[in-house]
Amino acid sequence: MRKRSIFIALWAALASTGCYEDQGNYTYTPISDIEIEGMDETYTLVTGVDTLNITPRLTTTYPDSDLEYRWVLAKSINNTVGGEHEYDTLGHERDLSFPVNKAPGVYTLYCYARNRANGYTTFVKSTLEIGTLYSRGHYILKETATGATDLDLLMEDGRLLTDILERTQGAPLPGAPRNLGILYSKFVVDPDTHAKVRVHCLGVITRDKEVAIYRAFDMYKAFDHHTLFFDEPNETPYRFYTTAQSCDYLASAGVYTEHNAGIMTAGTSVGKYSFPKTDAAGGSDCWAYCPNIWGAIYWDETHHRVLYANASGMAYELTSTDFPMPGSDHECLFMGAYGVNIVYGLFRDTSGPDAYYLYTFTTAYQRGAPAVTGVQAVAPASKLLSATLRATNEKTANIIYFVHDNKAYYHDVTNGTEHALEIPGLPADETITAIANRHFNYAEAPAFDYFSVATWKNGSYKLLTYLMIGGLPNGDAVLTATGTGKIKTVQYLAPGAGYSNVFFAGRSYSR
Amino acid sequence: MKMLYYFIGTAAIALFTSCEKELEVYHAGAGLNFYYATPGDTLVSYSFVYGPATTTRDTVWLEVETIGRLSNTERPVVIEQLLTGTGDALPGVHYVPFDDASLRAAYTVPARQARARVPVILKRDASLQAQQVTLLARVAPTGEFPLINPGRNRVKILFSDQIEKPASWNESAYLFPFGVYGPAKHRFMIEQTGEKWDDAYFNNVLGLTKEAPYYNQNYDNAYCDYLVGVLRRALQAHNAERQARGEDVLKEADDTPVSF
Repeated sequence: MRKRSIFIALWAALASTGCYEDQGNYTYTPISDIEIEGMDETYTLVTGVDTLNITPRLTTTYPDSDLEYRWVLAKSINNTVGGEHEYDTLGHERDLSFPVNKAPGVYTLYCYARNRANGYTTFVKSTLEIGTLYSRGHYILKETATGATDLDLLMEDGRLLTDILERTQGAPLPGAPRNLGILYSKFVVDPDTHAKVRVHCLGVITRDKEVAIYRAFDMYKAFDHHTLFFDEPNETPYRFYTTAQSCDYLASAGVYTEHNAGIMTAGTSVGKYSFPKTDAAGGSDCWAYCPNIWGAIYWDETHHRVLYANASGMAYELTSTDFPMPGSDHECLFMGAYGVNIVYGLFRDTSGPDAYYLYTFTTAYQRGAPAVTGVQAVAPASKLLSATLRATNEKTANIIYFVHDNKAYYHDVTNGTEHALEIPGLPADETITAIANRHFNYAEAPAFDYFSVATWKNGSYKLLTYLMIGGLPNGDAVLTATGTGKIKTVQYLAPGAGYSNVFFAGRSYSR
Repeated sequence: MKMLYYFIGTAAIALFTSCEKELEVYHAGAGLNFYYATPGDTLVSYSFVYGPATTTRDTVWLEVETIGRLSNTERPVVIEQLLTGTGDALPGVHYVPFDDASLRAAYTVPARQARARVPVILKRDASLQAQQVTLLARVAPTGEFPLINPGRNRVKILFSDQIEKPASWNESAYLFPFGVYGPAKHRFMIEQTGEKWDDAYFNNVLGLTKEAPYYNQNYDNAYCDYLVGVLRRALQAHNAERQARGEDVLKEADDTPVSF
């Protein structure tokens, strides 16, 4: 028995070791490090115009003759988060000189350094935002001298591209401007490849019910009203806007939505709208985006009710058990957002002698319906009531800017007082046509929080943009533009925004 | 001493066999099994209800694949039915028997080919209007194909003259937009759109598939949303007409109202 055990043990040992072959490499080579510096975190470039020159600084003990380099450009296919990438090697020299000729988009640039002798490799990377002149800046929606709609673009360096629709489409859009919305990562069919792709777009609406969506980087007209829908409605268009998950269109027929982010990147689309997802039809220009619900609260001027829509484009009527809701006897004068959770609505009650109320709608983050948390009577003598323009400060001060008799004021919501707004350099003899808090905050773009005002005189506009303290303009205008026409609104477009951070589009900029 | 000889002998065998690195050329002989392009090909759903009322028989094609070397001659294929014990299709009644003489020429793997399609002729028997039957098929070993891969030797054909739930109708999939399945709902969709709403339509037009990730390159979420909207509106109008006639809204047999 003992012999048998020994035999089995020896046999097992043989069987288990018979194929062992030591393939270790005992010829050790000392490994040094290679540090690469001198690359920016982000480069913003214009294709066909800019050349990217990078001279990296290397720290290593290896002789330069042993080192080889590789510059690689990576781009997400179809701009999907975490999806496949395609790669392009730009060069093998230590210094990069890359005449930017790639299609607009967000790329990752890798710089690899490798020691030929021992194979040691390291790399650093940067983000490349490749765009065109149209890819970034403050888009100005304006009324032309003939009463049509056109766009100007105020770029970061102060240059102004004028009459973009006339230059790129041959003519401005008929009708006075109603709204301009940035549609981040909207699905369109690329006219060259016929692929369904997501690109940043501009959605323009005029008072003549003209609707157009342009691919921002080249102003390709991706949709008009006839092509935007599977079943073209006969509706009054109000606005385009982007939520955290969708590119939406608000019209009298309801909220049309296109899923374009998050898990829904799994699906693709030709970019047409189907039908509103709920029966809560209606809308108006009184609208405010509320970051907490990744959606909007707005007035339905057809059915006289307050509606809200979430990030899935589901619209519902807003009700309250604590306060009477505005209804058939009410008219909405204004809606505006403050912070991430509050929307103000100013209403005229015509059931008796005119009375005015400022409603406070409060939202909880991603939870349920907005609630009415306050109704404040506004004194009939308030200039706010007869204002021609109104806008909230959306981030830093609980105030409503307004223009009355061509003078700027602000209404302090907290205590109900009104004050003249001092705007340094505002031409007193020009008509104020737009007033707003314009802000933007995203990692791949410079953040700003401006007070913005536009004036008009003799066919020309001035745009004056100020830094603020406590919500009030502070110092001279930091960004200005002068052009022809009358400004309706200004919207900022950033090329990188919305591709890599699906939550960005829901929160961090004024609309 | 005798034990030592045993040890040396077995150790030598172990050394000879344990270090084998070269794979032998396949010589285990010929075999045959079904070819599944996807795992879902083990199940085929069919209904005569989608086709013309005059149709009396139709063909489902099964694909087989050989094991081993190609042959310079045509080789016969033998398919046989396995009984499940529940609703099994009756040869001659619900389908043309696999060994029917008329099929003999079609049940072959052509010379120098590794794959072949063989027909299963389904018959539109009146009993199919009342029940769905199961035809579980397997490849039978023959002298030409003695080997069978047991993991690829079943195809279940479910067929009837009733409306059938397509295998791609997957209400548990996140992207699936058409909700819970019901025969009344399915019939309504066919009537309203003229489409079959079968697997071919789901896969080739809508891009919705029965396999994860449950969609393909044809998928367009906005178009699916649009179809849901079309059907929802049609159902509202249909129900309004029914109620105007004093009828109840459209419901499934279990009294569940149809909805989108």
